[in-house]
Amino acid sequence: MTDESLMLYVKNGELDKAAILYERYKKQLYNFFVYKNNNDKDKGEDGVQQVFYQMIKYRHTYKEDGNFKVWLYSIAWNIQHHDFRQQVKQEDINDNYLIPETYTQFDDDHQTLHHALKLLPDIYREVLVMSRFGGLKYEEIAEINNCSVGVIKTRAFRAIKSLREVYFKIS
Amino acid sequence: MKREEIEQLLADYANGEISPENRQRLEKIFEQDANLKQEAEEMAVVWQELNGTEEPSAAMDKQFYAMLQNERVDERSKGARVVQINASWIKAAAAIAACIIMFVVGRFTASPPEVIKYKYKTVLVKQPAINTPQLKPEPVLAVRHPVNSAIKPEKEIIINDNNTKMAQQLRSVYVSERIDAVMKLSAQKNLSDGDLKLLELALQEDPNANVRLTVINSLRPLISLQNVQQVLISGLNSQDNLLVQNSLVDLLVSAKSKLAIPQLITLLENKNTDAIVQNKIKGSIESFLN
Repeated sequence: MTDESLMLYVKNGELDKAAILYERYKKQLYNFFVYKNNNDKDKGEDGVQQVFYQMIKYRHTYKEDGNFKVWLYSIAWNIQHHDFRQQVKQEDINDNYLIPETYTQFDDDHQTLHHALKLLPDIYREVLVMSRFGGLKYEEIAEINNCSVGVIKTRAFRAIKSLREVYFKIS
Repeated sequence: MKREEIEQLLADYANGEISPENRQRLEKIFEQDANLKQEAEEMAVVWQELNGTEEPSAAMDKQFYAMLQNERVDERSKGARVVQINASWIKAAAAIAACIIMFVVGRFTASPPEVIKYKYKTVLVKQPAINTPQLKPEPVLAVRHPVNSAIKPEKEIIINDNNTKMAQQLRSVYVSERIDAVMKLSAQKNLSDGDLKLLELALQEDPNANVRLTVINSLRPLISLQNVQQVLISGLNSQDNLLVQNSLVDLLVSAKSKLAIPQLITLLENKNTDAIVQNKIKGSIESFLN
């Protein structure tokens, strides 16, 4: 059964079908939130909960001919950006107490790559996380971000190139 | 090919979703630029290295299913509330409809109330408004009262329209007019029952003794008639004037009216009767018996 047909059942009140959708997307969404929030696992789990809560709450807004994955990630994107704005305000408050960042030595290339991912500009990291960990195509990411596919591909290229420089430089 | 186009092709190349056509185009570029080819291959390696996805904890699953259960309960309670609200709404609507039906049915089935319309008119009154009802003579129902048990009540006598004028004149405030009425009645050749009734009333009720005496004198020529004697007998007990009472007794005694004996005995036994009248009654009764 496709995601769209399952969502239609949920829309019509069969909330049990939401569990199937949860099992399909929980890992992708969890990683999306984790990488968007500097590897914060608690925020990752909290983000997934919020996504599925809003999916059930606003199930009547789902259109029958809509792409479920795009719709679901749109919810996730809105949650993340709402949370991000609050986070920026909090960081502005904490700026006065920042201490100089110390160099961190990672044990393996994998950790180094993921650390580099965190340091990427948000618009680049977001595309990479959504495509690599969320399994979204560039066209779908473009639809969520309401921009052209070319823009998303350019952002993806620059994100991967930045990681490559970090990854191969250390190696 | 522009640099932007090449970057977009490299992005597709890195994640492995490049179309065959674009792959051929890119390979042509790689033939001319070896560095670009190396860059693309390193990017593909980085993409592959980003495979390490995190696994959510079991606590997240537990929280989700708890949330889903709560939503199911809320969904059922919402449905129940809708039914409950609908039920209460239907009850209220039914009550209102019943009231309207009762009002409409009552309005069209009840008898229309009597509407009394008062018309007010302003009238200029120069003198105090005193209602002086015009006494319209109505037929008088007169019953002849029995003088005693020996006298049987006679038939009812109705004073008709012909006696109306005389009756009105007998109620005149002027004594002369009442006497004149008595004289006119008695002057008729044949006294009807109605005329006799009017004379009887005058004999019994007229406040003036002269009027009553006029009645007695006017009936004197007709004393032989029994109905005339009845009229005179009926006036015996109602007389407070000694002269009138004497005149009645003298007339009846002179006529030797046996109809008057019971009434004369009653009058004799009455302690209030004047002694002269009593003596006259005694003498007359003895003469009747002899």
